[in-house]
Amino acid sequence: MPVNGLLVTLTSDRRRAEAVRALISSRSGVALGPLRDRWQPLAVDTPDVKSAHDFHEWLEALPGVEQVDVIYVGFDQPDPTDTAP
Amino acid sequence: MNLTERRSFLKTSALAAASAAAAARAETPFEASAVPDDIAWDKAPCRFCGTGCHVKVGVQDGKVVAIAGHPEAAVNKGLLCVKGYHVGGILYGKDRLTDPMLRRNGVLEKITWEEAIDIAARRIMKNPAGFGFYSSGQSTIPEGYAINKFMKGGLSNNHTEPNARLCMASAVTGYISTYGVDEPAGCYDDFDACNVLLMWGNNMAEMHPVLFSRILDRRERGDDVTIIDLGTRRTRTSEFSDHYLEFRPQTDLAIANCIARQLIERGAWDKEFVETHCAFRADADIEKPDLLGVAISFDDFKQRIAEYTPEYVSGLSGLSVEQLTLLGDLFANPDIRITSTWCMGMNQHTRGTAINRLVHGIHLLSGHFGKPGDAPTSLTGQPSACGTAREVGTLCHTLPGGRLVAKEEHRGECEKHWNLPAGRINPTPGHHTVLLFEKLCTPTDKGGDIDTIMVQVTNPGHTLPNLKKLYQAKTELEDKFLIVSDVYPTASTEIADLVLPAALWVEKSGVYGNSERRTQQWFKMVEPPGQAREDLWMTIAIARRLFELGHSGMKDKDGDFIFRFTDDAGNEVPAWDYAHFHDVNVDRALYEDYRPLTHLKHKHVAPYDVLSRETGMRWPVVEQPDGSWRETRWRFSEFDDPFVEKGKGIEFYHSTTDDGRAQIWFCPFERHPEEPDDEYPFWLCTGRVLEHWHSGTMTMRVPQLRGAMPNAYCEVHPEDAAAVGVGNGDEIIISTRRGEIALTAWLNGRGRPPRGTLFVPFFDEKRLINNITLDAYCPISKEPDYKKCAARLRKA
Repeated sequence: MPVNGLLVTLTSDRRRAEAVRALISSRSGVALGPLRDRWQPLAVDTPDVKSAHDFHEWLEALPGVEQVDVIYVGFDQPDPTDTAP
Repeated sequence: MNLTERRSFLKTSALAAASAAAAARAETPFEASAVPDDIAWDKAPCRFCGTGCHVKVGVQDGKVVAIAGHPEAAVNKGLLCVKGYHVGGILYGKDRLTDPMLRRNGVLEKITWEEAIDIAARRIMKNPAGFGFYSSGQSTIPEGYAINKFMKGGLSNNHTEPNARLCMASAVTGYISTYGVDEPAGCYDDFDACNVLLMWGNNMAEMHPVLFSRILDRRERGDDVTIIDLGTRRTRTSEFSDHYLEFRPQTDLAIANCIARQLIERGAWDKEFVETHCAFRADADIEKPDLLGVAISFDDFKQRIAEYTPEYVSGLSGLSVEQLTLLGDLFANPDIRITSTWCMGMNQHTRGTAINRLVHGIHLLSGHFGKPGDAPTSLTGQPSACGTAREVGTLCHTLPGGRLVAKEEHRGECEKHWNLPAGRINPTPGHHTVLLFEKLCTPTDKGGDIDTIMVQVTNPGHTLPNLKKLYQAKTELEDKFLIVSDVYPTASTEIADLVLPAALWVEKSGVYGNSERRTQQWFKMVEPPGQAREDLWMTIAIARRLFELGHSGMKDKDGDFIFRFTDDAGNEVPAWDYAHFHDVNVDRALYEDYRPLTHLKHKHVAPYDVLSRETGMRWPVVEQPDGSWRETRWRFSEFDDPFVEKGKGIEFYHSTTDDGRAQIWFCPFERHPEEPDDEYPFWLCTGRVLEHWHSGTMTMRVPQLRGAMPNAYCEVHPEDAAAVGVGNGDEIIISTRRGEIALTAWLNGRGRPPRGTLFVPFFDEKRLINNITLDAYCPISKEPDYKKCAARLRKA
């Protein structure tokens, strides 16, 4: 059950940036922070690691998103899929 | 706090961290009060590479529960790479070593710490001269300093080496033979000011991704910056570059000479800079090159590089004449700023010192030096290769602060500082890494004069080249003994006789020094598991046991133990007794003892208490009249370096020729000792991948990283694969003159080697590529070449 903090770099085209912000905020488990220039902070709570990866890839593929950086990872919940190395 | 509240809390915390990073990116203020305070946050440098990103570590109930990029850190400005944001997970692998263990009848059995320290000490006492201490560029500065004092000042034994010999030694010899002193003149600020970033065999996008994102960010903002990837294999870095210049392995030597030749041929070299600040140099005997060489004239230099025409070098390197001309054009242009970077591609090279010298040389010759954005800068692979291995001097020929064991004056300074009798420090350099392990693996009656090695904070059983010869052969020799301190079972512990469980990262305090001369400090935040203890304590405890056994070297001139710590009242604290190890800040005491030794070469590191408040400071750090401490971004440049004499502009104040000049070297192109031939027709190159760090000891314990890249593979060009009937995902066998290994073929994958080249990452302990790599090394730096050897390929 990962909780991640992401920093999304949006396009400098304000109309497209606003449209993609609206799209991101509509996803369940997502909380947006205040937009700073082109940088949109968000937190996302997903049920498992795969969903977190899927969300990251979905974000990166959105038109109007130029880059996604992971800023924070909460990992105190054991991953049930973990196996010995 | 119930689960729902906890999720909500973590989410608020994550949003606050991301918001802080957004504010940092936008260069706007951030209100820290928005950050929840239920988690105790402290700062630490990331545990992995040499970039030196700073992280915020969130601790709750004695456990690291969250990691965030530190928004105030100048290096990373709140960002981290995929490894960095999972760094907390390295502490919690299921198979942490938690007890000391002794191998009896081939099986590791639990013993007490008292027994373990006694066994190690008695083993050393039996033959102090046959003992070697192998540490790391991940050892903290206090750990390295203690090892140096214990070995060189206590045992009179210089057989101490860091694994940095395997990664940064050629950079060291390059800097010293050029400027007379180690480490870069520039810093990461050059990435914000350069017009051209030229990466020499340096896959920065995957190996130093946070630095690379700094450049990409500039380009996204519309800045004038051209990115050039000069490499032997197409990587993720190539995809982001404006120019990808693919050259044949080893021919970087010829390419650098070609750039120098063009500068002179066109009259485009910076005559004033060179005449004022530089001299020319070459090896006296190319068959027996040494660190300092001999002076040559400009005319001699010009004559020697004359053969490196673009046409000739094009034939050697595979670059087109136009590509070579492009490089010449850039360096000939005084109106732009050029930053060169490199890492293992230039250092792990049988002519590693030579290529380092040549890259410095073209910057000096062209005058692209000493201004923001104009710098040749090596990047380190480990978090304290600079701080510990190079500055503290844990190499077999060095003493703290850039001193040498071979220099009587330097030995005397250390003996005085450590209150040791004159003559205690041995003037003969010890065995370098490859030789150290070769001697361990050689029978005693056949010259194998090393019978015991203690390993800390590194994994030589995985990372040495030609492992069967240099590590695994030890198992055949009953009188040899291997002590390994580590946090997880590794290829090193697999054949160790004594295994010591170590504390990791924020389970101990520490100080690191990153690639740009930045010293970074952190405090212990959580307890290590089980009986795991600090490496620093192990060194002190073994030294104390030797003291008790009567080893005279463990006493100073006054008869006191060489590691004497006192409390505020001046009473001795028995730090060798783990029950009292934390009664004083041993890290602080050792660091402050070390700090004055950094002044000889003007590497003044910042005081411990100042560092404890900062996310690192770049030396030389000098106290100002108002009591504040000022760091230095550009060495040797009057506008920033306080040690440059006023009016000189540029001054190389540790010049090897004692005249303030840097050396522009001529080093010829020389062929590799194991080039592909009919029997072994491929070049084999090894390296890292984005998800894993070094031998994977830590990153393979993080499920997300292991899941993303679970196994090593072999990148093969599709046409080479087709020639042997291999498709994507097929099992293949890679052979060299040292053995063979089975791997999975990856065609058109993340990296794309040209025809005739194979690439294998080295992180996977189940597929040890270093079983078959070459142990040939640079004759000056003694650093092995992991990037090139001859191989062949067949379908399994």
